[in-house]
Amino acid sequence: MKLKKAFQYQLVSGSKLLGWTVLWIIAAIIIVPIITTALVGRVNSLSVNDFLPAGLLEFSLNVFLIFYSAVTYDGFQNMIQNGIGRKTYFYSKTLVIGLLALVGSLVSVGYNLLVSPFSPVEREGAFSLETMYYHFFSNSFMNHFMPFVLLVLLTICIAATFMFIGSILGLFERRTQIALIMGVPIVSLIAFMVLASANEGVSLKLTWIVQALMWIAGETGNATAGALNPFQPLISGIVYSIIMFAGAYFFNLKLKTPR
Amino acid sequence: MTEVSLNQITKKFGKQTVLNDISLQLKPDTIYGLLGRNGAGKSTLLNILTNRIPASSGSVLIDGQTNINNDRVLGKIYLMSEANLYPNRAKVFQIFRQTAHFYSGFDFELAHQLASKFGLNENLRFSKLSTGYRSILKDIIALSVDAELILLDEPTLGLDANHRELFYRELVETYAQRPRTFVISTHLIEEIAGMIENVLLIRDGKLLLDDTAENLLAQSYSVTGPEKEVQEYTAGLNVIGHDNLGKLRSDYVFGQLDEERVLPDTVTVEGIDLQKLFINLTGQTDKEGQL
Amino acid sequence: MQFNFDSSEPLYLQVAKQIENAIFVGSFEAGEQVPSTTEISRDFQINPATVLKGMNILVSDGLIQKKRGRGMFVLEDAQEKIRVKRKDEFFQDYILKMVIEAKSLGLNQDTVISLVERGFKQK
Repeated sequence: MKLKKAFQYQLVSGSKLLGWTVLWIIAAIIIVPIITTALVGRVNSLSVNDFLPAGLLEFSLNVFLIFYSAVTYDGFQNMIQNGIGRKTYFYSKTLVIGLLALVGSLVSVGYNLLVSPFSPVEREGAFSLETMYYHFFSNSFMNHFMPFVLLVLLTICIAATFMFIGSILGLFERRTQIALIMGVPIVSLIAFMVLASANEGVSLKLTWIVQALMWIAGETGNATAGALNPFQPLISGIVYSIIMFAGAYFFNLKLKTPR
Repeated sequence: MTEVSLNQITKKFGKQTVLNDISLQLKPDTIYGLLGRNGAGKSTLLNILTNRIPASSGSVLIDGQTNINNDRVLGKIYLMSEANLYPNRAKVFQIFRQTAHFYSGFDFELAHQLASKFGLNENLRFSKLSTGYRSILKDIIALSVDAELILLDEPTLGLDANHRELFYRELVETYAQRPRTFVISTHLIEEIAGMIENVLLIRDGKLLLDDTAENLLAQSYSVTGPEKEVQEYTAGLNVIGHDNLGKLRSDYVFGQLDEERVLPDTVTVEGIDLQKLFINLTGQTDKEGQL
Repeated sequence: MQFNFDSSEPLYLQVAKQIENAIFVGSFEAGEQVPSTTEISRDFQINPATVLKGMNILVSDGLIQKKRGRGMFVLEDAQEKIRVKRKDEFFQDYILKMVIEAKSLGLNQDTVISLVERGFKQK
């Protein structure tokens, strides 16, 4: 396998794309609003937080990962033209996603810590996870470390989901892809509404779903704030992402160039 | 030296059988002409060889290993085809670089030389290139890459006459300097007639011929003269086609002539070229030809 | 030089004939180098193996000689050898064919001889 070469290539192109995503998001949510504010003559009302909003990098990272993970076919066709098979393509891309999710989360936590003194709302972004699992361990390091692990895992789960979706979409022509992207959410929304209105018992099902979600979040019956069990989301997240990656792998092996 | 063997390759798209039980071995360091009419299955065969699409059944073995998702094997092959698989936003020089990253031994010097000979601007993005220049870019890579099996699917698509000749000149030159196996698929047979050593002819998804051009031409004849005499002479022979001009008739024969028969003074026997042989073997209106 | 792919003659024979003719008319003089296999292959898009096969005919005919690492060179007596060979072939290639054609036209021997004489005068 030429995993190293494929990984290097994917890492460079992925990092470039991540860089561009950050720049575009900065342009969209910082520079443009600031210019608009300046144009209407209210520069004085700007605070440091307007220049360095908390959660900026986290948001960018997730936008990038969603996009990068979902675009399956384009990467495949370039790899196969260069003599790289589907397995190597999948592994190299998954590794790059994992690496960028980890490094990206580290950098964004650091960034959030850096800008938190200027933030009007305390404990934003990454710290919201921390508030949930703040008191589970008696060890202070673990109480900080575990939320970070969960943050990375959450990022990976999002990426894995979109990689899974992208791998399925990669099997279809562009026109079918667009139809699926537009159609599936609309159809499922309608189906859900029809089900909800037709079936009174749906509320019962919903409570079941809510309970499951609560367990995944770490519900233990302990009412103390911040004492949710982080191992429940940890295990759920790992199982979920393994399923998603396995599904993505399965569909990746079916990729082919059009006739 | 790379050994390539296709074993009973069949490919179906839905109910349509595009390739039907194709088995063949490629000799090392040989220029092959892959011939067949449009839709005969040439591109499909090359796509299966490079694992761009899966075969419905059968296997491709390269140096004894399967080609399916096998980087080591796929790295020995480069397929230049009409399909545009390079990133649209990548610039020409970046595409050279990425090729060099994956295929070690990429000849940058040759690639630059060829780019300037063909007038290909290396700073253009792939999406900005015309059809002809996309072919040229992929042709340049095919000649510069250090793979042992170079597959060219309609390499001169969109190229003008000068560029077509330039490309084949360069191909033969690099081949003379660094022999490797080429498989050239084209419908412009005349352009490659002098270069190809071995012919692979596909008709209706089946491999009809796999032989040296020399052997094939040595048993291909045109028999020309008055209709009656010609037909008498060629009766029972493998006549694959004919042309008529008034009462004058040319029968094309593939296979040995009958040495016993006396050739009338009015009838002449000549060899034919590859193009003529191809047209008559693959002509759909003529069902006389049997192999 | 030109190679005609439509011709019914095998390509390697054409290669040999073309070079032989070039030597005969003095395009490549004695001691001079003939184009390399690669050059001929490239310029006429002919498989190098085919060109080599043609060249080897000329080598075995004693018209050109390989000098290691430098290429093929025309031998001193190449032109003379070609002349002798062509004289031998003249009867077979021209005279016999002419006689066959003359007979089918109903021309007798004297007429043909007088036509040949006329041809010599014109040139």
